[in-house]
Amino acid sequence: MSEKHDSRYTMQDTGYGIKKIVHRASCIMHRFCLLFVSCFLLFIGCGGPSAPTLPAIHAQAIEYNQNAAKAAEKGDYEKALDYYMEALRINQSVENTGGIAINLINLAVIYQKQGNISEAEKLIDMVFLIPDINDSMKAEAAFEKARIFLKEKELSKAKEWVNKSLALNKGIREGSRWNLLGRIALVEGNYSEALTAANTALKLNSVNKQKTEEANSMRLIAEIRALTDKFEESREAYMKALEIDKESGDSKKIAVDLKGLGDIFLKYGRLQDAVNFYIRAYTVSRTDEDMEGASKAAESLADAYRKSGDDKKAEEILKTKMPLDKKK
Amino acid sequence: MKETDPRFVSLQKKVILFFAVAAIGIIGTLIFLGVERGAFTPKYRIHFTVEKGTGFFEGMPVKLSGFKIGKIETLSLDENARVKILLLLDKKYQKWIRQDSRAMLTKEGLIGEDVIDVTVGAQGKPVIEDGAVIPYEKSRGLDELVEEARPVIGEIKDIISYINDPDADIKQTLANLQMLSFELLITKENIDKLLKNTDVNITDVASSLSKVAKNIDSTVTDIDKTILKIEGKVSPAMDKLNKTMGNAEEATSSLKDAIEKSAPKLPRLLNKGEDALNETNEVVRSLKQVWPISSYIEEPKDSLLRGDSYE
Repeated sequence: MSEKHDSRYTMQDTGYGIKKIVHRASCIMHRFCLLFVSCFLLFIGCGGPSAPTLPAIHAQAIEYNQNAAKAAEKGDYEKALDYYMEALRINQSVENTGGIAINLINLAVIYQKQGNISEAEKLIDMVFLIPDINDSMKAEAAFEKARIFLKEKELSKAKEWVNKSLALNKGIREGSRWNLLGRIALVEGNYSEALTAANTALKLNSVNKQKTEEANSMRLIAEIRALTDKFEESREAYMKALEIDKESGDSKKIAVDLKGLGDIFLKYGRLQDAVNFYIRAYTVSRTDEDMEGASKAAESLADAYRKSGDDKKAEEILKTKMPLDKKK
Repeated sequence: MKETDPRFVSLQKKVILFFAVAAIGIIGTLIFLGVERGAFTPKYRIHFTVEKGTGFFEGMPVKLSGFKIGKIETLSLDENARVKILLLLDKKYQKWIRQDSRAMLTKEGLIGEDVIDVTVGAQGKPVIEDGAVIPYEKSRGLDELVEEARPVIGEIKDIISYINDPDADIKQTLANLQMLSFELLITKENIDKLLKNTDVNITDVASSLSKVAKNIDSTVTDIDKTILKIEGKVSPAMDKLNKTMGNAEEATSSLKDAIEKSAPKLPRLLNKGEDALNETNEVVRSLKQVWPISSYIEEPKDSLLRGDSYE
């Protein structure tokens, strides 16, 4: 009897334990459900449109602008021009002055890449006719104007417009303005002024993390050093420029750096080194389908062979250069 | 021990009820799914045998007049290494599948999925019973049509290369013809010369004319011979070409039939695809608006191409 009583008591006790566990489990479940519902409501509350969406027409213009940028990056300038024109047309139809200015500048940049300087100049002049555009945009347009004047060898005007650009807005693009000033001074033959500008540009571009322009500063320094017979400094500067350009993956600039290195080695009579750099420059240009760059490298290579007394090889190289000139 | 806490009074019953409801729910769902998937629909099996099992797979839908009436249950090899295909069909469609019905492996449109198509049998014929055989008819898909066209293309290629071959009879015959025309030209020039001198010496002209006439005769005979030769060479080539063109025509019409059959489905398919894409775009666009995804997406803006100071 006593045993029976004991066992019943134990069973009841176990039943009570199970009830307790079930109760605790249901409490945890309740809490979890509450937490889930609260989180859900919180997320729903935070959801919905984050910011007012762009009007469809602006979004369309931006889409054209971005497609143009992609085409330009691939080197398809004709397509880029078409897209920028369409973006410009849409922006003009709603008188979006900011969009108009951006697309005019972009078109001018593409025309310059194609060598159509007069068209580029017309477009940049139109930017200055737009009312209510900010100084940063005006500074960019002034910089483009200076680049155009430099291409036209109108050095004083080019300098005047770079200075205008600097006066309007400095910002992170200040280094590029100094680079351009340095290049103008180099063309003028004023090496010390060019070097000062290049060094200023180098500092600014390094601080502002403008890699392409930093490489441009290094290349400019290398060119000035080469012209002032500082072989080792020139070589070092070219090597740094090459390193940055390789990081950026800019084939045209890589080829220019390699050719520059070839030029200084040729100047100092290290013909085999010069040949090696020219061959590298030629290979980069050829694989990038930059016929102009490849032709220049081939010409320099032929020159190097001729100077080393191998006229036959020089002739062979010049023969391979001819079809490149046709394709330019 | 008596339960004193009112929350635990009859808890055991509640737990049992909870599990019972859950079990009923699960069973109900299973039954519902079974009904939905036709697990409780009466079924029957028929089969056919093919040389190769390529293109067939277990679960492949079987269709009658475009409606799914069943699927391939199993694929197995018989004693002769042929593939036995067992179809599991809904019993309610048995009345349509009769002795003259045929099973065919076909594609739903040009780019549709592979299905077994069963044709509707004539009313007067007896129905195919459970476990019986349905005749299988090989249907020609695009691949077969292309395969058929391949030898035709090969033949055309052979003929073209034969015609283009400089050492081949046709080229040589043409060269001969060219030579003969050249000779004719010379003969014509001779006649012109003779005609000019007619008033000077008519007798000479007459004799020369007879010579020329002889020349012409022999040339014409040569031309005849050459033409006969050409005919002899060209005829078989032409026959071959005609035959090839006939084959090509046949293959093209089969291909045209296949395309015509599938063509009406293409716009629908394309529309469906476009709709699906639009809906997906909408969903993606809506998702982009929702926090926290929206905080990672930059608002699109015009990009400015920066002029390079070195360019």
